[in-house]
Amino acid sequence: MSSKETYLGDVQDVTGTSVSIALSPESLTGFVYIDGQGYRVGQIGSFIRIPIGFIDLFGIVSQVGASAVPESQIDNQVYGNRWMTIQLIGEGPRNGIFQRGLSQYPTIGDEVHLVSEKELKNIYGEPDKPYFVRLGHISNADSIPALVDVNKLVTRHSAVVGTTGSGKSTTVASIMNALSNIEKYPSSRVIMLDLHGEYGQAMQDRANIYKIDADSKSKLKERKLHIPFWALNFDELCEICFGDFKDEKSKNIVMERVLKYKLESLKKLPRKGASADSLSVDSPVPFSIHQLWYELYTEEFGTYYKIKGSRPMDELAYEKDADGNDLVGDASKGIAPVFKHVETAAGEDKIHYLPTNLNIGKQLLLLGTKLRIPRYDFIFKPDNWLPSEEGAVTEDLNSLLKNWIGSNRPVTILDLSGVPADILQTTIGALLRLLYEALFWARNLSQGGRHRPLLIVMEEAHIYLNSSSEGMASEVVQRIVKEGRKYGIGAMIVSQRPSEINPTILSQCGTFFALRLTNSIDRGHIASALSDNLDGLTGMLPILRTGEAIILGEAVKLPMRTTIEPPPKNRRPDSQDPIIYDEVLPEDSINPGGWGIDMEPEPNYEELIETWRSQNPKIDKVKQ
Amino acid sequence: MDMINVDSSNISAVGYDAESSTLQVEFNNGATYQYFDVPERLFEGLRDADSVGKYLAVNIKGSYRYSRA
Repeated sequence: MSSKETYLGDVQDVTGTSVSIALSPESLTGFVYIDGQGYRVGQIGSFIRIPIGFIDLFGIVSQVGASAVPESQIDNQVYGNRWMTIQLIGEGPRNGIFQRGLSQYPTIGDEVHLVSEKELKNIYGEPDKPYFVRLGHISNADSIPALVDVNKLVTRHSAVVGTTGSGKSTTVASIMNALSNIEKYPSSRVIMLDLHGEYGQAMQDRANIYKIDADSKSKLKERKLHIPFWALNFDELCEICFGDFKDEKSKNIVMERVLKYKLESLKKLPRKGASADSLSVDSPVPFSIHQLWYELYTEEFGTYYKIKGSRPMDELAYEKDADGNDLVGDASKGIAPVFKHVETAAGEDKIHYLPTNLNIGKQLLLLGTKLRIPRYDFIFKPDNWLPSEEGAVTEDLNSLLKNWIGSNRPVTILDLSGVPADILQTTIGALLRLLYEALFWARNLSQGGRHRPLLIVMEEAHIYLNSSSEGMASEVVQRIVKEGRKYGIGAMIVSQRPSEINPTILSQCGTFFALRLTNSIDRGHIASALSDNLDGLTGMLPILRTGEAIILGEAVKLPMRTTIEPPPKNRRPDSQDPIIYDEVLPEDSINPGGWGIDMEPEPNYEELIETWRSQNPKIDKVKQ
Repeated sequence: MDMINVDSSNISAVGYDAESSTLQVEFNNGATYQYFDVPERLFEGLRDADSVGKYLAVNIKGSYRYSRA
């Protein structure tokens, strides 16, 4: 053998893809030099090579020492427990290109060799190909770049998992940075659900940022996020407007009414593509929910003067204000009319409840509140997308989608930090469904998903893709991960708690970026979702350094332990832990607070409450 | 607010709004904070200090309330 110095030992046992090796007495030192570089023998996670004729088989060391000894051999060990177990992963012709999968197995007595850095380079990559992005370098081999195949990364979905503080956000920022490189990918298209507003700062020159309480004057040029209610399907609309219905009947009443409004709107203002025949209650046709609510409210709570010969709806009994005007309310502002109480006493004008009985009083009161509260304005009063009484809108859905996925910047960040918690799941579900439907139906067009695929990055996915709840978001994402591949919609799931994510979703992710994971349940979920039989690698998860990830799956040729290269300092996400006591001297510190610095003599708690009441972390006093 | 670049290991620029007595400090990592009700002379002192970081640590940090901008 020409490369005697790389020789480790011989194959002794082959079971499926796992191979036991007895180390040769010649490599007893545990340390070998190849081309002047030292290698330690038998590091878990390192690679070995088994030459068979013209091809090389490659494997990963998963076990070393006593427990790797086959049971029958325990008694006759001459040199102690010098055994290794390896997992085979692929093969390649000598000096050729490495491929996953095996066409043949090794047999007893085949030589096993160490893989040198030069050979590793051959395995890992073709850095010149433009469809590979570099995210860092292989740990323990600084000269080898960690390359990820963009084709597979986007279409086959991916997951980034890691304990808080393991470098998850930095990894995501690093991936975003690589994908939004305009010179390399002039039409890349990424949309990001940012639940805590961490990424605005990091991506400011490459992303448009949409936020509910947008601050147009801020440095980040935030824009307002709108999700017009009329673009939601009926289930989403009900969920957001009314909460639960007591029975099917009341839900059907609302459904019939919504359909009627949409139909009338379409009759008055025809829209290309929609027709009265094909219209359903789920069609995205603008209508006035304020009018709908006002009408239903009146029917539910209204009273009328009983006058012979005239219809109850023409004789509504409004209360009067101090000036004697009827308190008819104001539909557009969500102000309800006030009706007189029922009056049946003799001699008085008879007042009765309207004969309709909708039985949805609670739901209507709830919707009324939502129409008034500014926090819900992004859905119910979406500026230019707010329909008039007839259903006319200044801007249609096309401009909304163009802003999100058709702008001049590759990345769009949807900052959802201001969405009320009770409708967060539904909002995300609706938002993702809008994107999915748009790209799905437009699959033949140049801006559709097949021709300009979209990557959706979902931060903190365990919050809305929970395995226990049957949320709308979870439903849509399941559809995306199952079918999105065909229509050019890729998902990247980011979470610190993979065990809480719906297992169907996780199992559809082709590529994993696994950062440090200490919790054993979380680790188990990742290990079971991985396609490779790589116990050795997943065993490494709890001891990864911060910013180190094991990347495995379809987008990489081989599982690789990677040191992720963080983006430049000013492009890092804003998720750093609060400083308790700064490690540097006060005069060098870039932190104004913490336990180590005196606090101001007169702390202002009025401003603290101001932020809470206004639901906005920025107080009025902050100057632009 | 007009920002004046300063030469410091941790602070990149400072600015002052006389009308509301607001001092704005931008650190090298891009984080911007506003200190409220700071007298103008302290801003001038900060701007002209030999060590801006030290002046901020001694005279402003711990004495005035602030908010991230």
